[in-house]
Amino acid sequence: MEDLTNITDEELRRIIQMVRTIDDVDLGQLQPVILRHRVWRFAMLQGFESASKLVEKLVTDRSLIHIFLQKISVPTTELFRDAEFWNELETIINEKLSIERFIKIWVPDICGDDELNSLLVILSRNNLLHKATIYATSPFQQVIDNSKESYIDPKKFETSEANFKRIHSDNTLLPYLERLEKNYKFSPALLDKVIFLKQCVSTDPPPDKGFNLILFRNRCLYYNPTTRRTALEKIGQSLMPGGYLALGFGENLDETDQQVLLTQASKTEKIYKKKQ
Amino acid sequence: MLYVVIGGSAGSFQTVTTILSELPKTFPHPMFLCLHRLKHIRSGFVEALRLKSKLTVHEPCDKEPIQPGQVYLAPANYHMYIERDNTIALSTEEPVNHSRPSIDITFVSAAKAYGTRCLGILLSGANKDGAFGLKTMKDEGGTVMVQSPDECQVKTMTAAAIKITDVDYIFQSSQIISYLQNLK
Repeated sequence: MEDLTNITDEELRRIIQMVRTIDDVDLGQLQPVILRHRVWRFAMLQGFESASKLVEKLVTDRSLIHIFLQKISVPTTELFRDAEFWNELETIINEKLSIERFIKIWVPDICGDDELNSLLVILSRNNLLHKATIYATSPFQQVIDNSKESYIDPKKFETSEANFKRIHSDNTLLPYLERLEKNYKFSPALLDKVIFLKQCVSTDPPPDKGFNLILFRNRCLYYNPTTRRTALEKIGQSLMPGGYLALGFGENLDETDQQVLLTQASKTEKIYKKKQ
Repeated sequence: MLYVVIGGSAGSFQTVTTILSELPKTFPHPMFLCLHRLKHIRSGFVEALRLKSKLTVHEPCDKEPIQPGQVYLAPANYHMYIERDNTIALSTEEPVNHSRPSIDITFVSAAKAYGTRCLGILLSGANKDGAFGLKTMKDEGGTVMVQSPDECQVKTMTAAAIKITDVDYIFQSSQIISYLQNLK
């Protein structure tokens, strides 16, 4: 790890301004300390000696901006991260949502596809895919394209399989994957059930309304406080009464209007239910 | 107010519990514990640290305001940053030095946000995570100390820090406790 001090506030401002001008993406919505770390990490991985060299290159090379935007997002790193959460969510889906005639689900701001794919496995296992409408959205077209072609390398498969076995010890993820020569591909048949849309959760209208479930774990971590508040309020409004919102273990609804409109529906997980 | 940041890995748990048990309820500074831990085990760790502590120990939520006299333990499988607006930021970014939480991340972010108002303490551990962060803290004007490698169950971490940084203090755990007790 090199020194974050190499990136000045002015350099960060220039990057934010440049990306906003060229790609209409507002990196200023991100949590400052994490944006600084992501920029540094990108500069290091691309072999730049300093942040100022990166800024110089970004000015002249638009293709680099697209790579930069792709890499600056924080991917989830495995399927079924936090096995206890997925166990709890599967219980709620089985006990509460399976009785609905239709189930409408939104996975906003996907980054990598692990959360979405884990959800698809749960729905498939419980024979609920046929009545589910699932939206997956991201402000980045590249992320959407990658999620439609969901590849899993062997190391990630190993970690994901271990997570899955923590909740289903006698089961395997293999039926949901296609084996390729060097890696795996997530089942296209399952991904076909998903409606992928380009959408920014804090600035664009939701893809639909009256959702039964919104899976939004560990995404607000990367938003600044204002953007987080806006995003959570929009998401809360698009839930139907009795609908569920899933956040990450390290998140909550503090400082938002939603803390009075939603109640925690799980003793151990940050799964909230909208009041009737 | 000082920002007291403690990093540790293998062999540090006992030292941390001892430190917590010896600090008074009136300890006036926020303390941040970034300890390597199993990513799949979320419960039990903070409860164990609370047992003998007179201070409130908890795992913060993202964007939580920092309060004096509170002890913040980095949650399992999250990095913990100290933000310039006196809040904590969590992240699920890639592991750093094979670690999440990474001690380097917490040390560097604290150093960048609060510079001379930081006190960094690195304890026993089996990899080099934390060494770079402690150097950054020193470079930014903070005070840095390491547990004496002779006392560490595993000395890799403290030895790595001493190798790249002119640390202010190399202390036995009893001296670390004494130093903290005397902080105004």
